[in-house]
Amino acid sequence: MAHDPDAPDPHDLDDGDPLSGPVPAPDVAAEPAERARARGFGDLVDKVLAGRAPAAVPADDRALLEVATAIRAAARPIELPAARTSALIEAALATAIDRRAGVRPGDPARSTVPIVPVIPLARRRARVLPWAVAGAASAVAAAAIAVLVLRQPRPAAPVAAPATASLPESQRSRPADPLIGVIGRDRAGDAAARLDVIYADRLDGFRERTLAGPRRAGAAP
Amino acid sequence: MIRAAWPRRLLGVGLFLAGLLAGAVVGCSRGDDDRAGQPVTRITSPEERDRDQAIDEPLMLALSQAKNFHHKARVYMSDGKLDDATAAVRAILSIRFPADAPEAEDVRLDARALLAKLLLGQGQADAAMTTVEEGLATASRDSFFLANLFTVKGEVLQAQATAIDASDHARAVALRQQAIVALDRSIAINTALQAALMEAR
Repeated sequence: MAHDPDAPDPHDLDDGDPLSGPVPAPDVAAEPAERARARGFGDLVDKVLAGRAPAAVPADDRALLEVATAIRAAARPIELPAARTSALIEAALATAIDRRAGVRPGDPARSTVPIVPVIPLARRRARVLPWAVAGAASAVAAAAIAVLVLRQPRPAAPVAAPATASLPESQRSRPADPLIGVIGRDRAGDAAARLDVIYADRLDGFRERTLAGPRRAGAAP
Repeated sequence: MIRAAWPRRLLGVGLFLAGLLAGAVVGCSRGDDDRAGQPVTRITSPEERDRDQAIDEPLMLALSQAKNFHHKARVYMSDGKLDDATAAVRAILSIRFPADAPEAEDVRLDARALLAKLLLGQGQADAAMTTVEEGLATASRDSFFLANLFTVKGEVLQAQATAIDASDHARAVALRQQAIVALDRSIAINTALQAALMEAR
């Protein structure tokens, strides 16, 4: 039996390399070995997507994995959480700086970049809000105290001078001493007569004030 | 880490509370602005003082009532009804005058002087003295009416001394001495008031 140099080497077909084998016809059923290889590659893709990539991957499988990852990324872009994104960016920047400084990446003991924990924006707002409220309240307090201290006392309203003269004495309620004078001992009990005099005098004043009309502004009738 | 955050939280809470407290203090202290510049202490204006002291209807009504009671007492006295006359005069003490009307004190002191003389005329010297002492205790100023009441007090004391002169001469002497003191007080008041009035004229 002559050996055809173009015919594939049976050892090559058996070494598990599907790329170097003949392309099977479309309607040909998959062989068990082919199914096993497909199942194994599918598990590998799942592990990689789950972040549990094996330490060593054959070169052929790695090429297929890159293709599968590219296809998946093109079909469904992945959006990382903000914290994860920030952490990745920080890590990438730190690595770049360390490389420039000659530090081997992944050696935190010799890293020149301080490791700053990434704080999510929501947590940062939660920390800043109470301080903003307290600061605003303090500012209001300071302004209020300044207003209280610096406010000039309002000058007292000047006492308006009386627009008119006082009531005549005859129209005012007053002691009756000038009207009665000294009461003699012989008239000590003559209260009725003295009251007649007082009443007559006050009646004159009352009539003068009420019947003569208001002689000055603001006088009560 | 948690312990280190507590002082800062307390500081923030303290600042917030200080702001609220200062706002409340300032807000309360601005209450006087609502009075639109009016002084806190209100002083009676001359117009208001005149209006308060003017001769008005309540004063005239009170004087008229006192006048009627005096005439009523005079009628009872003319009929010899001293008890009724005393009651009429005593009613004058219950008349309500306008507050701070000077005439009120004058009329009441004069009514007490008459009432004391009526009681003394009925032999009630102790009641007369009580009436006089109550009047002297309520006086707010020196007046001719107060001096007259001291004069009546002297008369009452003199009557009391006369009544006990035979039985208790020493007590009678003491009462007469008190009567002289009361009369001297009356004279002093009259003298001072007359001098003041003369100086005012």
